[in-house]
Amino acid sequence: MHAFIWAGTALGFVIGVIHALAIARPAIGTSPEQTARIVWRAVVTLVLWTVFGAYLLIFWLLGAVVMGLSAKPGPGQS
Amino acid sequence: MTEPPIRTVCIIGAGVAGLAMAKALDEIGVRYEVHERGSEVGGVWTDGYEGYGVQVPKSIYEMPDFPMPDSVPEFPPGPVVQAYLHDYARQFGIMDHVHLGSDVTAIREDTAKPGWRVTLMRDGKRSTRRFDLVVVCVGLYSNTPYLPEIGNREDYGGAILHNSELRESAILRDHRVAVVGFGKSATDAALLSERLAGETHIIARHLHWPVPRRLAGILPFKWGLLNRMTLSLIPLYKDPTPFERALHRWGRPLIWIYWRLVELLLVVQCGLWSRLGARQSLVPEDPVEIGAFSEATMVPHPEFFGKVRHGRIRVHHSGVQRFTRSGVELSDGTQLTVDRVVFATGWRSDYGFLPPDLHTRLGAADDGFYLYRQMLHPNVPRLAFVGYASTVSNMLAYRMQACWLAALIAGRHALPDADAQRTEIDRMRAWKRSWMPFSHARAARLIVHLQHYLDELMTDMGLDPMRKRGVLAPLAELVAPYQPSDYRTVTATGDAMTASR
Repeated sequence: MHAFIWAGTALGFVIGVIHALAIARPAIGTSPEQTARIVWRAVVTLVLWTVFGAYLLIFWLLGAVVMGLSAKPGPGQS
Repeated sequence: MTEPPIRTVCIIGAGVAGLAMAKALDEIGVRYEVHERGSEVGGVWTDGYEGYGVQVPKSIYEMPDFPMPDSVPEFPPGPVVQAYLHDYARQFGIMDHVHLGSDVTAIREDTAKPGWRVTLMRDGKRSTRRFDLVVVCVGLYSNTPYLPEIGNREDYGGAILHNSELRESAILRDHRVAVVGFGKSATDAALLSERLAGETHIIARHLHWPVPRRLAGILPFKWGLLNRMTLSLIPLYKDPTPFERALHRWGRPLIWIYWRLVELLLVVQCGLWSRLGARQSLVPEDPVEIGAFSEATMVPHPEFFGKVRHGRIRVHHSGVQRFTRSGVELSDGTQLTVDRVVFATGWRSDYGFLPPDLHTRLGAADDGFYLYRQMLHPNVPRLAFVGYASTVSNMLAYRMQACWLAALIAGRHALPDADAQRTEIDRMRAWKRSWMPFSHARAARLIVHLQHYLDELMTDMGLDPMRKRGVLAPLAELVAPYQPSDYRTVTATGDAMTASR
């Protein structure tokens, strides 16, 4: 359990870094106020992914199992 | 589009879109006239069936620049909305420019100078006036009811009505009633009938996911539906970011389980598993994230599903096959004996004042016509549509469309070239047709994707699409609902809050 939480948190951190970079990229060349807002948003995004990474991993695994067992179509499928 | 400069504008229609457009033109100081064939401003809100009203809370359905007063109920009745729109027109001096009872019967391109010659009919007199730009603000539907063609109509001995005719309760009192349709107006008609009639049936060819006013009876639905987190989980917009694309690819189980949990919540809260009518349940076939974009997304009156559970309203998941002498026969063979059949099946589109060749140039198809930013078509310069969009918050959408168009007229932003506009139109058409259920108004349908659309309009105008402010703004962007108050400072001349460049 302990290992799972650490794994989820680590995974969340990695995704968070990628997401934060994606958010922060448009900040280049904007006004200082705008840059501060964007960077702050990127930081909060990284924190949220890290904190909730383990929970999201649980739901991802649950979804993968139930989706595999279910015949219910997903978006765009007939 | 703006060369030579636009100095006179004709706005057709004085509903929400027409009034929003008028205010925006006022902000940039361009002369305009509003021609409204009705006798009052307010468009669809000037008249309606008994008990008609807004299905979303007023915090979502208000003009961003004119908040509804505290005295207005959370879910405003139709006449209150009409009075509010009248106040809006008076407050901003729009009434001086509105010509009531003035019906635009035709428009044709001016061959002498870029612009239009508009034919008007008022008090039985025909006149023609010239404008540099025409803005069509008549909305998606006309005041002509849509009644589907159903066989053996002449055999039927009862009365066939459209729900717009339910102005007097006596028309249903003590009768056996069948309501055809399953949108908001159909459920309203069924509730009215349940109070008055001896027996009420509702016939639904397609079931829709209901959106309760409060999720789990606690959380106003706007918190669950109108935030950027939910926005990232609905089917991808036409130009997703690489991160959104990756989320929908690698995070698909997460998104899938999220929507199944939402479905579970709706099924339990609304009792959709109950044994009802001729079918076992009211659970729609389409997944909720797809079904929410079908013809009629509805926020039913809280009493509706309770009445269904208690058998006061009987739901038939079927279509009407034909009329019989004493009622209707359904597609599944069920015979209903009823003496009133109420069609709550919507309205026809009416762009009859547009010359036939214009429909072709606009690329009109069965699912409507696709426009650049839902407003313009490069094949038809100097003609614009404001209000040709179906969203969760039409007042917000139309006000922002009006600001965008007025800012364009004022030269505050520019259009891409005609080929780029066509490419964008093609992308929007392909995207919608790839997954959105067919409807005659699919071209106009945005629903929850309104947020993406508003982001585009803000970016075009050089304004910041991220509207939340303060230390908690990143969290608010994620989970707090986006609503008209977030755009209060946006006008056709800029944004008093901030500009992104």
